[in-house]
Amino acid sequence: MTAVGARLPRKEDPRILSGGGRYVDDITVPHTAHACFVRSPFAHADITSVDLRRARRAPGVVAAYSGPESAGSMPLIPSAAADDSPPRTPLTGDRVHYVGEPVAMVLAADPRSALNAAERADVDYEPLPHVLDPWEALSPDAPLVHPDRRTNKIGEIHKVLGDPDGAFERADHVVSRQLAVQRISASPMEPRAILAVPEPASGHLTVYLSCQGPHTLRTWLAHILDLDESKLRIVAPDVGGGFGSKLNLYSDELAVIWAALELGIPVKWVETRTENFTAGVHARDQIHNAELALDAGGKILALRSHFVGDLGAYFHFFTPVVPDLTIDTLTGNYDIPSVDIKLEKVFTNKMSIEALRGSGRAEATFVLERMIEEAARELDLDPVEIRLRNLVAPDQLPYETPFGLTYTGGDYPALLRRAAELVGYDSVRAGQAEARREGRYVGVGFATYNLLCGFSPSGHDWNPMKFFPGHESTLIRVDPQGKAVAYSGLSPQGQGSDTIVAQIVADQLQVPFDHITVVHGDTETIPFGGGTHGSRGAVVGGHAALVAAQRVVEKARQVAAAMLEAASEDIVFADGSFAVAGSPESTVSWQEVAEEAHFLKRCGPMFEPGLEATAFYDPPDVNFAFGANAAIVEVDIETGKVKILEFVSVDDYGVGINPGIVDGQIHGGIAQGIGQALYEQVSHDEAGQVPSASFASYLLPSAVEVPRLTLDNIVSPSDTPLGVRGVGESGTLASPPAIANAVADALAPFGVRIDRTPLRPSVVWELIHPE
Amino acid sequence: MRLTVAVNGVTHRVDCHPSTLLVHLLREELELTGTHVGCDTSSCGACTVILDGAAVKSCTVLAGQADGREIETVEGFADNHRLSPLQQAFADHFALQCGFCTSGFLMAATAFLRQNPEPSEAEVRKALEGNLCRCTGYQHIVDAVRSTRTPGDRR
Amino acid sequence: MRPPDFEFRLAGTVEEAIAALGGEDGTTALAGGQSLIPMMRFRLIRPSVVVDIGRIEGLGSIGSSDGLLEVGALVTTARLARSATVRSLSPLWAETASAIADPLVRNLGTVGGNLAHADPLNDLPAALVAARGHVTVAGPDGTRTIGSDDLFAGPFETALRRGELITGVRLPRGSGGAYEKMKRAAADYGVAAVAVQFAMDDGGRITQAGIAVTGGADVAARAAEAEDLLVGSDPRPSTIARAASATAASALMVTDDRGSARYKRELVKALAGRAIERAANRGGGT
Repeated sequence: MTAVGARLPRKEDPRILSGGGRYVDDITVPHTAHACFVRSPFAHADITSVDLRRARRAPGVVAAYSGPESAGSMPLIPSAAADDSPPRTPLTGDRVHYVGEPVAMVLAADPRSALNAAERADVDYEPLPHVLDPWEALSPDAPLVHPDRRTNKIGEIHKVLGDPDGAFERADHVVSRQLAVQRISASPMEPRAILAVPEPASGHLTVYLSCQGPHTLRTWLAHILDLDESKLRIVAPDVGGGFGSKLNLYSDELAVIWAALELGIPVKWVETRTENFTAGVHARDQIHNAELALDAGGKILALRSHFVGDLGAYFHFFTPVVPDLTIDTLTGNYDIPSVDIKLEKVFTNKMSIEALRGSGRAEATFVLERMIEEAARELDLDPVEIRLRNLVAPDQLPYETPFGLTYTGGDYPALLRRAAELVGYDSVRAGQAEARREGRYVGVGFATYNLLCGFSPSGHDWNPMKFFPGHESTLIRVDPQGKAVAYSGLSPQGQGSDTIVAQIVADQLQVPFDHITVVHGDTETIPFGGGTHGSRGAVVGGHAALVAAQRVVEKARQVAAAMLEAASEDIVFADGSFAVAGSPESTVSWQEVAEEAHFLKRCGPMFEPGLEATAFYDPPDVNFAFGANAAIVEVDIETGKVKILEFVSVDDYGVGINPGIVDGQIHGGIAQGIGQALYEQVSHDEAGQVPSASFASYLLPSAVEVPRLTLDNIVSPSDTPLGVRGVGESGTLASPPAIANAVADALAPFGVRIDRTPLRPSVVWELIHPE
Repeated sequence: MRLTVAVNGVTHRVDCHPSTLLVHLLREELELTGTHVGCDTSSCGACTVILDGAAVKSCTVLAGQADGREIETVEGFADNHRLSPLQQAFADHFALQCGFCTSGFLMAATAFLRQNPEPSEAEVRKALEGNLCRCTGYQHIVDAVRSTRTPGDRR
Repeated sequence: MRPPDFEFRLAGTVEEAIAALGGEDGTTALAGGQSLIPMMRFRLIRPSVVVDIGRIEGLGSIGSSDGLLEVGALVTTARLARSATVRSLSPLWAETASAIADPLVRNLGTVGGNLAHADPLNDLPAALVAARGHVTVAGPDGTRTIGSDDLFAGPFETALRRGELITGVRLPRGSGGAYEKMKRAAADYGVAAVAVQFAMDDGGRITQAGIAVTGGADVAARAAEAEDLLVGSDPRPSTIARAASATAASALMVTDDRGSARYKRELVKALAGRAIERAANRGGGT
């Protein structure tokens, strides 16, 4: 039996379950100063004066810094995704651009003293006009977020492919809608945390950082602070969730590192939840003006969407390219020959947009699947039927989308049919009619998804980022006992990649799963790494482990050949031992080979000692996963509250390496999608304040809101050695539109149009009861 | 202020500032870092501990309120290498991913199961509404809790 | 976030609490701390002295006498929700208790604290007003009782004088009660809720009615018109609908992040209708 495919327990669980998790704030170093930030209370203002004298005199204070006082000595922070990044420093200079921007920093002997002292910082502001609405930001008389750029418009991408104008002219039906995907927050349960430990005598610096990819950040940190990468160590210990929000090097984190180097002492900072909601990155926030051209039979002829992406005030890591991903994924799994997609990106006085589980693709899926639902309604077609008429059929594969993506696998109609079957679609309509007679409003909704993932081949368009590897590495080092440590460049935040890497390696080395230890998240021990994001763990990191393990086996084969006095090409490796082909009696075990590889007692120097190998795996192409979701909801029309009665997800994630982990990824993704559909929203009031800056108002779903989820899968192995597809983001894509479509269906008697999320009770009620 | 707390059966005499929260007493004074802080509003439950038999949010308890009381934390359950039945069920059901919220769920569910050894799914979900998880979608957590009759006592 | 610095004092008896609370300015009482501590963490309040009244003996009992349900101020809301006595003598209070925050918060939050905090989104104030209960108060001038209509002076303000603390609650017994609350998600503090308490005669006619609204601009606003409308009637659907509308009309709802005033009024109407119907069914059942 192979380890791959088995429901093996996660490597890290016993340690974490018994309280032995080591998150950044759990790590202590003697004589650490604790940081606390003074942040902008305004969306846009000039800082007219900063006086830190009272703060510096407060008990326990070590140092205090402000942006204006430190102008010139603090580094500029570039973006990884664009050369024309607006200037950003760890503490802002003389102007603030969003509520929560770091202005000053106080360091004290303990967190309580730091917080008490930071309250004594005196900062005066002269408020400036601000802009929060992205359309308004594009108007010529809008306040400018960065006046030297003379416009809030960052850029525009317009793709016209096929013959969209002709298609719209020819169309029997044109469906037009404005659809918005709200601003949301990744909200990992562990807020950001950093501990910077300098060694002034040697010039070395160790940074413990709650992050998703320490190597990438090491290169960036060295670049920004002009340090030697060889003297820089970044450690991502246990990380309490990231979901895209911890790929960054944030302003405040850089301020902590900068201060540690200035003072030559360790500095720790642990973000509060309130800070995470204001100074942690946000995501999504697009408004689409979308149009679908259809023929009389409901076949889609073209899709047009002119949309705006509200990126906030600065470029963080991916900021300027996040919405780009929406463009090429807007046709999903559907055969849509012509497209006209225009994206305008704008600055506003808000925190930056960044990657968040499903980023770009979730927005695309919402718009596409809402549009198809609306088309079904206008054409009086069944929502499953209209999808079946337009999904790329298996006999169309390989299928090239207008954007040049090539789909090679999967059966998209089968996934949707299975979802419809599992949700009991045949009986839903009868139940719905029955419920309506009782005054209950029940609806069913469907959505399909195509997850473009596994980022990404080096040099490919999908990776426009500087210092951001698309490949992944693994070093496998076998010890004299024949057990192995795999040093993986993945940097998980709960995805369980240690376990799947161990499963892959165990199969190749033909040793028990328990004989493999996996290490990650430390630039001192790991060869290199792209980290964990974009559903790439199995797809890219898994293959790095596979190739490294194959190389180790090749080396072991040479050792075995020497031991068995045979040519290595005659050595057969099976059942955990090496034998000479044709002479099954002359064998050496894996353990004997491992011992000989290190001590050379039997053969002498016939091979280079040691048994280890490193592989860097650069994926030949991006990866796709796909599936279909179905939801049944009930809407309380008096209160506006939506309850999910059933939720079905049928997924094609290719070969599943560990069913427990795969199901958990899908559950978690769907829960986030449910949050996006019904609950979560980063809201800004007219002043640009963030009233949603707590769980009590942001509304993360709990075990009460997330229903029991029904999962099924239809597996089509991908064209990769492991046959895997991405899965980490799968659940986030189709769940919001499936739920929104179900709400629209439930409220069909009211003629309600669902054009935005979250469908919170007040929003739903206002739709049913317009003024 | 000076106070005495019995944590996982061990009596500690500590001197701390009166404004200290129980969670910081545990983490910073007693170095029991399995209990976490995830929010500022008493919403997320990552800091849940059992105080005199009841599951509470230790970020919303002053150290002084815990003086003289018994506290159970996640560190108190595993006996050497043996996980408690509930901890083992979490592992068996893949009920944790990043693990940051996990100790809170374990403590809330342990206190709950001691009172209600055979809860329905709805009762489990309701009992866990004070704990937030961003990774799992809760289903595996609910399954782990429902599969456990006796969650385990302090070792 | 961490609370600002303060002095911590433990009050072992009611007398010690009165003495401590009557001391210097900025002294505040801490019972379970479930409202106070989050506010201190956000530094929205900065007491110079925190008096822990949570260990005072004798304030933690639940009992009944003279047709009254008597609940000590330090009874936790979890115990209130579980108590067989409360469930049988005041389903309204048991139901309200189980709607408060979440099970972990309820394990520490107290009856006295929930009332004394006078947060317009706290649940027990409306249950007190609907039940026409009284609080017993101890202070430097002795003990007194305050009727539910006189306790709440405004958001976060009560009729408690310096040095006074709530020691208990007395509620008329009555099976005809219900609490309907709307929360958007578990972590939400709530949008609105309606507490209803009826006394009914053998013919199913309402003889006394108490209705109060949680989540408006006022703390536990009494819906007097709706009460008047119901007293003397038997609760037919048309009557319930009129009373629900009257409840909504009497509550001052404000637009905020949770919804528009218009939505909240209609929400109160829906919740009131449901609570009235359930309360009437329960009241008629005895």
